[in-house]
Amino acid sequence: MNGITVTCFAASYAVALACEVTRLFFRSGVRGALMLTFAGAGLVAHSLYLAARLTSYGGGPVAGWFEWFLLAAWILAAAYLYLTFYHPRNPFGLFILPLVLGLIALGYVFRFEGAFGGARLWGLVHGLSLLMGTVVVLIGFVAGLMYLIEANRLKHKRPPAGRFRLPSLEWAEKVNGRTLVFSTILLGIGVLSGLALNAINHSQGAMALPWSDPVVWSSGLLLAWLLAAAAFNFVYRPARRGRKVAYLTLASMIFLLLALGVILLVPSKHPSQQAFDKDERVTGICCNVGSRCRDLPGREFRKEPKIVAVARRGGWL
Amino acid sequence: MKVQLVGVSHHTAPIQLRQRLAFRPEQVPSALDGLRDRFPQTEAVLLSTCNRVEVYTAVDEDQASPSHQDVVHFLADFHHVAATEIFDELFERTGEDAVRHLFYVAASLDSMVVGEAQILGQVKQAYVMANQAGATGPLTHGFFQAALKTARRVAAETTINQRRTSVAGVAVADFAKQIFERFDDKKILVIGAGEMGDDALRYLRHEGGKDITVVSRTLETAANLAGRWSGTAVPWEQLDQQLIAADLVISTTGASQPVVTLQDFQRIEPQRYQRPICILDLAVPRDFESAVGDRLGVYLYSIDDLQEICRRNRTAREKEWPAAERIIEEEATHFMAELNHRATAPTIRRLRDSCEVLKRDELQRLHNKLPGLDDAARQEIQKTFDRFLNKMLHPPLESLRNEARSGTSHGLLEALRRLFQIKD
Repeated sequence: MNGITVTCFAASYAVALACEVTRLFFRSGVRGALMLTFAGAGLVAHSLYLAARLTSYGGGPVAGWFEWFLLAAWILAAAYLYLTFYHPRNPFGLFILPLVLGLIALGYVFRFEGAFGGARLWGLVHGLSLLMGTVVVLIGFVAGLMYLIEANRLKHKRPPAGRFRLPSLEWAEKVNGRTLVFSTILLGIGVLSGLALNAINHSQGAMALPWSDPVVWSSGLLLAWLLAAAAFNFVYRPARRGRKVAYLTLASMIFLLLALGVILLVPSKHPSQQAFDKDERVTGICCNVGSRCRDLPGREFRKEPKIVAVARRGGWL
Repeated sequence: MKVQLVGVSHHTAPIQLRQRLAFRPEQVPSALDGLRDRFPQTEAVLLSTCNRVEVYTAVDEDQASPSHQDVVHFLADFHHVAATEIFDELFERTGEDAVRHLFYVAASLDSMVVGEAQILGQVKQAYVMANQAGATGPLTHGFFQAALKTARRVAAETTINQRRTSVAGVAVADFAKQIFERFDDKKILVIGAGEMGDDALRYLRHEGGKDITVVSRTLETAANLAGRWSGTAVPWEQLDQQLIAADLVISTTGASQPVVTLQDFQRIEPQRYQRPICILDLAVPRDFESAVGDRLGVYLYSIDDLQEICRRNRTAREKEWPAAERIIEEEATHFMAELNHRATAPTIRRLRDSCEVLKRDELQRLHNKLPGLDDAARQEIQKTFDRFLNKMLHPPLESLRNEARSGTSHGLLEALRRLFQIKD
């Protein structure tokens, strides 16, 4: 699988997105097949790339931020393929594919950022549930956006644009409601398993995260919001309807972005930001990312002296 | 080879005459049998819809084709009307005009509502029935298959049949269907018993709607409409309760004042918990105060809103007309070229056969005169004869093919027949 790079599947998704954009301008009999072909080819390349990284590097499906973002993008791309196959008239790609490409881009930008430690069970549950919760929030965001656009058209009595036909409000509302519930459950599992992991670390004498750590309070804030939204949804019946649930999912997206921003950018003692203390991890990443570390433009690592030293030892600088 | 059409359509004849000449589906096989009895060499297809009755015929030999008068007599006899009564009402198209006409009909460019989708199915059905009756042949196969292909191209490459132009169609397809994913679990409330409500219910039933409640000031009227759609009739006093439960409302009363004011709606609103409601106010004057449409979760469409969209859709369809016409023109030209080319085939075959006979005779004579020729020499001579024949025939046959492509091969074909004395 040495020939497959991030560019391969990102380019495939980009072409599928370009095909989706052309829906707005002209009709075509072959566009549907082209979109599915490119998105399908992208997903296959994406799967092979992830599988190759898993087998060559180990460390579980969410070994580091790079894998985490790529896996989230993979799930979203699979969701896009499914939706486009069953609802070919709806331009789901216009909403989902930019998110897929955005996640891949984030993965690429943070490809040297932290590893999440070994493949312990609690770590795996923590990483995977947070990942799934994030994907569900993103799907809810897409459904919410579609709902608001379509509701606006229907409220203003505008005829449907022949080439831009969104799914019905009922469909979008149903997806919104479900994503709100599932994201709360998944992110709840993620945060609780993180607490369990922290407690285990503490009991084993390893370093535990303090409550004041930005990763802890930002994740807690996201979970608190989702719990509040779900409770509001449960107690106040109109909140399960129409625009309110769409607004709730959009707000969830904002909280998610805030949480991710804090986790990725604010210094923390979270293992994902401690990886560069471990020489072998950096070596591992550089080897697996695609042996192009030598050509990388100089970028600022959080623990630069150590990283640079390791990179020099490895002959990449 | 002659393709012909004789018939009436909404352009040329009033509905009364069209109804008298129409064929019910069960009558079509016997009608086709009757036509074939009179004209055994004729292939025929009968297209009978509420807007047109058209008899398409095709024959290999022009003289075997039924004339306009023959078809008039056939129709008159079948429907027991006087031929003189309908003679002037029936129009006739032959050759390329007949082909183009069928292509226009199948692509719904000749329909009363341009772009309506049913006509393609009706043309297909007419062709299938003629097939089953054994009335079709190679010419009608080619003719109708080309028409169906053209109609599919027009549908795929233009948006002429995508925008709806009826109020009920727009209300259900462009709005109600975009609010609700399905209708089988929705509560449909009909207020009043106007004709427009009937139309909208037809569309909703087609989409799966089944829980229908009719409320009218006269319970008997409500019961009549509800009976037609397997719904429930309820007295007028229950309007508020029904509005609380309803997902989709069709209102068609003849009231001179709004039946549901903003205050009325606000009174029941809390009990709806902001559940989305689609209101199709098809009454003139309006049954729902327009301010009701500003409430959260309410999607209110009046007849004016829907008619405005119908008008825009009609304009949009008209814009697609040139593109559709271009496709029909392309396909008709292509089909006629094929048809003409096919018409030249027997003459070309006979010409080649007669030349072949000549060549064989001359070769035989040469071989008799030169008995000492070995096999190699004989083969070489035969090849020379073949080359000579091909080279000699190539220019006239090429000219004939070119003429056939442009659709004017009859003169040249006749000239060739006379020059080479080709007999049928």
